[in-house]
Amino acid sequence: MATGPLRGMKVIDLTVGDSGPFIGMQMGDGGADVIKVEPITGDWARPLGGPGLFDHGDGPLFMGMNRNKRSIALDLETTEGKAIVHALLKDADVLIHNFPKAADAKRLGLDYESLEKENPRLVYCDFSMVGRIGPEANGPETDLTLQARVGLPRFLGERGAPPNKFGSNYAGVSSAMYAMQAILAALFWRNRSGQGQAVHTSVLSGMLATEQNYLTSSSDPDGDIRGFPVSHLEPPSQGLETAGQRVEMGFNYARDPEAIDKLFDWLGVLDKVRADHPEVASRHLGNQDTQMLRPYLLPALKTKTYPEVYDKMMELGIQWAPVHDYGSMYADPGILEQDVVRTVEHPVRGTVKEVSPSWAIDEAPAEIRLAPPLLGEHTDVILGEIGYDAAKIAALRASNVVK
Amino acid sequence: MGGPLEGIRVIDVSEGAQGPWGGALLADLGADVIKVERPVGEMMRHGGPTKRGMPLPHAGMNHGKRNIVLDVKTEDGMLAMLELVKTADVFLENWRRDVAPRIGLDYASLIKINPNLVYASASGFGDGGRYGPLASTDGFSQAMAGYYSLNGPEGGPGERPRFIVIDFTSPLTAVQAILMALLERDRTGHSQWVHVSQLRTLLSVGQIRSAEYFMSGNVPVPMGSANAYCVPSQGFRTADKHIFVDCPTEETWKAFCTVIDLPKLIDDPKFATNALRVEHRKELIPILEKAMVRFEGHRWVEKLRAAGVPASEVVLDIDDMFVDEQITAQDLIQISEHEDIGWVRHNAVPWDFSKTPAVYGPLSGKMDEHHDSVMAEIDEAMSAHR
Repeated sequence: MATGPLRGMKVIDLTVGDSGPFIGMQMGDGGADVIKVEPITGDWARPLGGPGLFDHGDGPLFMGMNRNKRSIALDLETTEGKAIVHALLKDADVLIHNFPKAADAKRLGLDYESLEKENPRLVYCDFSMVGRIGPEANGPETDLTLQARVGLPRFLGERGAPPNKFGSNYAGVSSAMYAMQAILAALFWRNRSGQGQAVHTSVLSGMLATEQNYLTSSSDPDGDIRGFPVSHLEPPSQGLETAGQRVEMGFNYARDPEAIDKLFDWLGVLDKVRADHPEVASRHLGNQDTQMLRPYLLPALKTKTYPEVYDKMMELGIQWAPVHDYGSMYADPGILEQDVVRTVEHPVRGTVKEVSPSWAIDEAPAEIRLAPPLLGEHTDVILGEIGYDAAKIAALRASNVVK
Repeated sequence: MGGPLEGIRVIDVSEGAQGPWGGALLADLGADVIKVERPVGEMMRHGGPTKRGMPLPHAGMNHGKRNIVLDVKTEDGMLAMLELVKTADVFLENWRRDVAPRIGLDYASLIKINPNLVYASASGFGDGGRYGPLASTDGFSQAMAGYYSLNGPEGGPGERPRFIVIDFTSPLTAVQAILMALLERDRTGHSQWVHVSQLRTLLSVGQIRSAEYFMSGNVPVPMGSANAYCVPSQGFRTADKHIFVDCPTEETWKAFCTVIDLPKLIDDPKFATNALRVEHRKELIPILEKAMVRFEGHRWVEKLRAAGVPASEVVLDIDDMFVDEQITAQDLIQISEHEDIGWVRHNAVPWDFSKTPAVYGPLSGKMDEHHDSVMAEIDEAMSAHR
């Protein structure tokens, strides 16, 4: 029995790819029974991998977005396949889909108007890439093209250099978080009113919400900040080098007003800063422009080892952080003690590591109960739950309706 | 009809972006959100850009809320705060971890006066542990959570996106957690304490890269616009500018080869599957690059999309988004008027509910703007239980 706040809820997840599956995964983290209904050929994310990245056919994109789900593989274009989905939906709480074309839901008999009659308590989430209306509603899109469309590359790299993308599926994940909010809010209202409803949302609308600060800030500012968002006006920040580990330091906040002075004294450059900058000779270095301090800081830091810097920063309580890569991060005891990694049993790969759910609710903890499923791993069990016997399942399998 | 959270009251004492944007989303969903501000104003009151003296980021991130200023260091201010808490469903804070217990607004204290409260703590690096006490802002959390290492040109050391990556994403997990806690409260009747952190949210954002690391043992490194597990999926230089092209399926790969007039690649056994294309990336990409410089970007994008291949021009100027026909057709960027600020451009609410519409509420203006209405409610509540 799941412990999360969504325990007892049944979610039918028809999404595939690099954005939609994250919604169902988070619902599963919250304790819902998430049934991933996949095409016979599988979610297109499954085979994306490469040498070292998969050893049974499922790559990191699929493995990162589909835990806490059971998989049934079926052909939605067949009458029998449709009947199975409708049987699953009869007592479902939530349906999520991200069909590529606006007309797909209606064609498959999975539009909200049809389903509402069968299950008036259903919360229906249509999570498209760019919305269901507009000139490009049916165009081919992925997280990569959406990142380009909403301008994320302007926040990376040098001006004039080849554009970069955010190195994770940022558009997909953050807009999936918006979609889950809508589902949860609709469930909350459903539990009070008894009525389900449909929610339409998209990666595009979610990303514009995520960029809200840049939109409001572009509203004719007083000052000469037409370039805001700053984007290519600033050099990229890569952190400060110590011997062995980059770090970031901020001098605007410290528990001890003398902390910054103590740091520079420890680095052996306090007197030099004061001699070169008479305006701070009699004042603490706190609240100083980091750019002014950098020329003193950088060479001095390189003479210190990371453990020395770590101890000094923790002692002084200055705002700082190591600039981790995933190797150093997952070896850092200060990170690991935040319950960031859990394990789960995978049917082929054995014990696999998983990133922890992103929230903690004391009385209803999120759990990782199921590894990302193999294609059709739970087809028989799920069909059994809606009354299909072994002979019938075998016949469906033989005629390629299910896998 | 109000939004799905109609009837829910939220006391939002958070500052900056991480908490305030979460509070604004709850307001969009129909909750009555009261932002309680310190007399000196929260941190975003003091930042820019401004318009007519008002900080625009603050106005957007606190839209839909009522605003009252209370000094909880005074007896009257604290009394008013506690009265508000008694009427609330949700209390949202993102103070440094030592603040709430020190001023007496911690979970343990507040559930004594309101046993049905959902208390939401949004932190940087968690509620405890050695990094818990560190002050965290967006860039520092990106550094800590390994996000620099995923971004920037290939071969580089990694860099921080100059985008407020985590301050705009951790409010999303905060809202999720609050909504789930409200569902749980409806089920059990108990108060709930929910925790989100920038660290754990950012690990969720990079979830697929962690999967890659856990599966392969290879530490993810910056790859520019390219992808560790899918080829081709990246930017290409064309005759006039860079465009992004993605071929996540065999169908899109074949269509791409056909459009760029290199159908022989389809039959090349070295490139027959995505895994093989990843393996032979260094051989394949220069062939594709050579083909892509022949035409202008918009022509490629048009041809590729018509053939079903995900492709896009790269928006480098925010003004281009304002005229994107897919965005304008859905009014996803809107303009509101505020009497103090004038017009402000902002996002549309990202959800379209069929029965309980979400509405982008009024922009936030002056401090203490709703003093009278909130104080009247507090007085009413106080006299009711006197």
